[in-house]
Amino acid sequence: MSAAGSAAGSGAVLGIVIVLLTQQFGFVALTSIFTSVLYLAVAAIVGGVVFGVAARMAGRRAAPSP
Amino acid sequence: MTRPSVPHGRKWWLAVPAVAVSAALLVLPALSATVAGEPGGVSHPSLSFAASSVTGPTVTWNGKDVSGASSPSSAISIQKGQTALVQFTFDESSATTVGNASISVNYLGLVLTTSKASPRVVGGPPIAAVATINWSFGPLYDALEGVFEFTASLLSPNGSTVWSESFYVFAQAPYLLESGAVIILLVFLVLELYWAASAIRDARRHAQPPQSKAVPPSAGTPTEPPTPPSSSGQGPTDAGGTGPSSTGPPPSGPASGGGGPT
Repeated sequence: MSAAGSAAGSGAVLGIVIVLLTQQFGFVALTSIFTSVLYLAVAAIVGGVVFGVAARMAGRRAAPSP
Repeated sequence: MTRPSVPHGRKWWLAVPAVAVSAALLVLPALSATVAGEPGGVSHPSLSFAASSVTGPTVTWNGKDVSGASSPSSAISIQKGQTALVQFTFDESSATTVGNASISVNYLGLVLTTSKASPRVVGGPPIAAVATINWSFGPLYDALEGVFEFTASLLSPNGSTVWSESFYVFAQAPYLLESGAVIILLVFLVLELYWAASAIRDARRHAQPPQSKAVPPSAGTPTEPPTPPSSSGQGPTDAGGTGPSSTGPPPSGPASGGGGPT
């Protein structure tokens, strides 16, 4: 797995963990199955994209500019 | 240019426990549904009386009207080990029969627990009825906390809902940290942040240019050869020493070497 893929995976899990933590801390109520899955899926996608792009950008910035 | 497959410290299977435990945290409440709260409710013989409509039902949670807790931000708090006295008060007149009052907890679309109590007449007319339920989170408190949606309902004897109202309760552990789920989630948060940071760092490290092959260390040698011509005096053999660096000084080497012996 590439570094960007690994970072995206970590970001997706981070998104799920953060949503569950916000529920535990009382900011979000995971009541219905639809809203719960929606929140978790959106958080996972956003986390994965953010961290994947961050890793990709970091690799690109460190690469030599011809 | 294809991106290289970067080997680094994070193995893909390390994410499996994180996902598994997160899924377990989601499913755990459903498995504990029979444990939490008052088990199965109390099956009193229903005190039924006629009513055409249930008017003005109010539900209080430890004396506080639950109608003010209609959103997670205005949820009623309950502490660990605390028991809440939920009281239904309503009036009835003519044709509808109310058999039970119930309160249920909803989480992820599932009903975690349901507690029931039969109403008793306390006055009238119109008939005023009260149903009380002592509710507690039970052992589920050790695993979970957070905001949960409760549904208070008045049920007819055949089980159909006559009236219902939803409200939110914040089951709160002291310092917000005495729930097992919070501890596990915080550990995962730190671990995933570390893994993500290390993955980004590895991406940066492995994207360094392969310039070690393009620029060999022999770049500085061409400036050295100008000294040997006069000292050695053996022109044709080897001016700058041995090896490939001797190709560097040809401009000065042959000129001085050719004139030296003569």
